[in-house]
Amino acid sequence: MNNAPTHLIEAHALSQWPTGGRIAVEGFDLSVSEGEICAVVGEAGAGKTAILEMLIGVARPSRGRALVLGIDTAVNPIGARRHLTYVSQQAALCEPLTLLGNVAFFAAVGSPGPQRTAVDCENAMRTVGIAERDLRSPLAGLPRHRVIAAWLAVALLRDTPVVILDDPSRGVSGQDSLQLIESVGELRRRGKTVLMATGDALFAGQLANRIVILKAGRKIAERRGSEVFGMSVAKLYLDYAGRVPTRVPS
Amino acid sequence: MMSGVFARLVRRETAAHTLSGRFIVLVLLALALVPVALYQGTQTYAAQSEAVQRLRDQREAERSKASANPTGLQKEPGLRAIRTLVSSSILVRGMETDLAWDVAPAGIESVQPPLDATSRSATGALDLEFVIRVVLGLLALTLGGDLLARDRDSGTLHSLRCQPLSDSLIFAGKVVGGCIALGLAVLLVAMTSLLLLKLTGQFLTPELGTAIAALGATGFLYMTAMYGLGVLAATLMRSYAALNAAAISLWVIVALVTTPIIASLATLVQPVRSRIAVERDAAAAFDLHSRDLSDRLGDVFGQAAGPPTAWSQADSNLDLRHEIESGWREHVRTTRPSLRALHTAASASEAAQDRFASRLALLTPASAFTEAASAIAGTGDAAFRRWDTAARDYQSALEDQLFDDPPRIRIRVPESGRRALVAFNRHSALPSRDLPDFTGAKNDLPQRLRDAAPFVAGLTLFTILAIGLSFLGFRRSLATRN
Repeated sequence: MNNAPTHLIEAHALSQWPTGGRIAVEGFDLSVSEGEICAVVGEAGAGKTAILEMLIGVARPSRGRALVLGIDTAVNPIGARRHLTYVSQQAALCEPLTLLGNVAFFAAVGSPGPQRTAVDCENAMRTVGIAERDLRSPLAGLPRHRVIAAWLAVALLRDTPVVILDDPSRGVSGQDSLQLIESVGELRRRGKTVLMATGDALFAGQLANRIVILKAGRKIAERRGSEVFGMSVAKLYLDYAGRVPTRVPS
Repeated sequence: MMSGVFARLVRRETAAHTLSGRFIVLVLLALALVPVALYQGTQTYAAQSEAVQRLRDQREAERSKASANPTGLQKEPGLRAIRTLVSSSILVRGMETDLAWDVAPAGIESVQPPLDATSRSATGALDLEFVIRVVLGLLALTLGGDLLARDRDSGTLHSLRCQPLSDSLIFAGKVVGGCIALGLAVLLVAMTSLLLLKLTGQFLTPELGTAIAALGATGFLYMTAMYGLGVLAATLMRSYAALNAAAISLWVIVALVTTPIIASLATLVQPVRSRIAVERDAAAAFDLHSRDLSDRLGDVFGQAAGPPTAWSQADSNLDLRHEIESGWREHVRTTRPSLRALHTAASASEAAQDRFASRLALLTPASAFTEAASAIAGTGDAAFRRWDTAARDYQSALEDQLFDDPPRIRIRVPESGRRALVAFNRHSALPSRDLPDFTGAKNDLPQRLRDAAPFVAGLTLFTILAIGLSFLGFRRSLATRN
């Protein structure tokens, strides 16, 4: 009998009420299947990061449950994180290490697999489009898309089934944005399940086969699979983001 | 697997610390101060060694003279209690900056303490203890603050927390990595000291090398405690600027101010009379007793011996001799204990002040380190107390022979309305060489390490407490963030 969970990422009525009474997230439901790329789209302060942090077990939900591969992230956050790679909004790396040193460091501390060699790390970095000259460069002055790409290389090395990205396209534009889309696309080609939060509907539209619109901590719209294909995510986002969330469209 | 992850966390933290500008600048400053501290220490040691040798030569010359008959009524070269210098005094200055060598066995004037008891370990001299306490203490405190604040501000802490790592493992990796960086700093200072002493070619002995190693290990413990305080401050401060201000204030209070404050507090709470005042009292009491006795015995002599022309036959008057001997023995029986009580009380109050200061020293890591360092070097309170006891024992031994059983008793006999000084002979004078030798107190390295043990234990407790509290603060700050 196969006991593998149907959905690799699940959120059931996930809520977070930080002190002060303000609602960060209220009753958020989500199920992401294997191989899907799901984008949670919303403006700044909509609660995207709060949802992702509850999903990886860094923040505790006030109510509801978050599961990764069936593991309750509030109960066993470390166990859940072994199956995912999380790229935070800040995507901070360790300052004294080079880009390659960081990739090797985070790949090693994050996964129980065999030791990665420097060659493995370099190959993973090349796969996500990091130029040769940047492999051993110090972090100071590196453009953000390079840093995000380094985290994607970490995801490739760790080979986790789930990759969660918090606003990867923030501050990335033009050619760099296309490179980033290509890099995330590599995760899809490798069958990874990707959940990303972004305020950039166009970026989400380029990659996601599921879109969730978030406003003021509540899910106000969701489009799946073929519904997303060919539609303007930007239009979808603008249509819903401007409205008061009275109902969740089916 | 976890040990490999932990090793990586530790390596990363060590690299972050050792490559930081603050680490490099402060370690270089410490390394630059080491030669200055050792130069001053070796200069003082050389000058004091010369002085000690000169005093010893004088003592030996005096004691080898057959005609030298000490009276015990004044300071004499043959009666010196000369302290053996410890070579580790070049590492930590203390009581060796002054020498005490004279013993006047009559109890009129006694050994002088080299320094006020409580200021022995708070001289502020530039020595290795100062370099570690002040410079490396600042390094430890600020690196501890950086441990959390730097990673919190840069977002690296968040990146680490998003990995499958427990908060405890992250914290332990950071602390161990920081401790390795601190260990490296103190190792550099110790190795530089050893190298410089080796280059001078005359000071480095196995015992001195071991003392440097022990000082380095104690310094490391002190730095770990300061590091823990820095982490604790970082968990309580939200802004980096506030943290830096707090770290500097904490450093000024802990590393610079507390040691002299403790010395002053000990002086206030457990006041000690100066040795000069005690000796003045002893001299006054002695004079009073002596004058009274010599007058009393002079009256007895005058009545028994008759006119001055008959005084020369008085030595053969057995009754008179017996009466004068009885009077003298009575004098010894009453005067000796009262003089000794004065000195014993002075020593006891100094010891009480030392004990009080030692207890206070356990209140901060810096003062505990200062006490431990001076104990290891053999220049602190415990070594002084032992030497003081040995010198007093020597003084008592001399007093037994020179004061209590003098070759002659001087009495003041009434004559024509005045008093004439008459020496009543008892026996021939002892030559200096027949008097006991001064054997100094034991001040070897094992003994010194035992002296340092309570302070090392205190530092260990500080370290455990600071790291433990900082871990709780770390957990609390993460919970607050959530």
